[in-house]
Amino acid sequence: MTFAMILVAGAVAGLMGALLGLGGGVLIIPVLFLFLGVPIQQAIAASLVAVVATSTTSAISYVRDELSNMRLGLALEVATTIGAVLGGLTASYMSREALSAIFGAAMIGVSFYLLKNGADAALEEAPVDLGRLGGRYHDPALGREVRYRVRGLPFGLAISFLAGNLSGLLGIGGGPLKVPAMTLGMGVPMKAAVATSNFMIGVTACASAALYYVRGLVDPLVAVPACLGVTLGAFAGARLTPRLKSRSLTRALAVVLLALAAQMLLAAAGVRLR
Amino acid sequence: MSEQDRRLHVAVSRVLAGGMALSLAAMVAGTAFVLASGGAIEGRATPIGRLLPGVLSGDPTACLSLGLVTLLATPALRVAALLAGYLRRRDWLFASLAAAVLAVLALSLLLGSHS
Repeated sequence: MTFAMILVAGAVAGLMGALLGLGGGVLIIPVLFLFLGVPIQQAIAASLVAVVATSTTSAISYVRDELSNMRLGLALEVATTIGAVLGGLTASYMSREALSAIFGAAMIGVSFYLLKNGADAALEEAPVDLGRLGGRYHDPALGREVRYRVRGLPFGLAISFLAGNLSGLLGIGGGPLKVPAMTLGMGVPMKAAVATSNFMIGVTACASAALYYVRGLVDPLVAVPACLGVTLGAFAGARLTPRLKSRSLTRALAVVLLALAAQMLLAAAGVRLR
Repeated sequence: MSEQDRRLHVAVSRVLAGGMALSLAAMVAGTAFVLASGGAIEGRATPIGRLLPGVLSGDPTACLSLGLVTLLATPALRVAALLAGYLRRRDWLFASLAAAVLAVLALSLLLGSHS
């Protein structure tokens, strides 16, 4: 019974994760911890493993369809992984509550901005020179090729560093930070940002998940159904994304971020939802 | 996108698909073993050193764990595939970025397993 419930929760998380460039951990952790009584450490461990599954499954088609920008992803991954390692070392310097409050407040700002200016700024002009990090992909919803040049790399690296850092500290993916940073600050179209974020998340989560595994915190009867469910959801999601409108994806992301921000602010105020 | 870029995308996609397929196969087989054995298994994944003997002796926990370990290794393999791809085309900048990511992953495992 529990097995089936974890499977279903995983499928929903995987679908959402693949569509929005998140790992889906934000959904899995509360379901496991609040409704199924899984201890928090094991819930985080299972969620991290499931994040790797979401990322890997959706990246199979995102990479094949050339929607993931692998050069950009690789450049940002250097910052995320260093951030994640340092996260472990700096954890004691800042309180979890302070971080949650900063993160929650920042995400409220980002979601309102996304709701207001949802359209891709990058689609307005089609640059001739795409630079070393730029990319192009075919967008079936628009019926044409989309080309973009990446700007603001230092900003992207800084946010990725922060995303990696926070993911270790708060047990979340980092997609909620990376996707808006790429679309709003770096000129990457929504779909490419979602696909590139999914591509990157697996590497960030794999390091922390491996640590939980080595420490014996991974319960196979929790992690395996979560992975199987997430794989089904992400498989479907990654096939849907190219066909959806960027604007609907952006709106959905804004709503999810608002919910996440509320959860973080409550946590900062001492109300623990998970 | 150049032909080389396209080939690298296909190769990386195949690495991910292969890792995922192996991992899912082990997880599904393990689940079947669990169901066949009445559902009572250990609450923690099999340590990596005992994985192979466990799988060979048909231990359901080891089988599930093999699926999990394969899954966790796949993103690292993907970075290694990118490293090989960029080295082959002498793209030193991106090859060194891939090498840096691999190094940080190794460092985190090293730091983490000692703390």
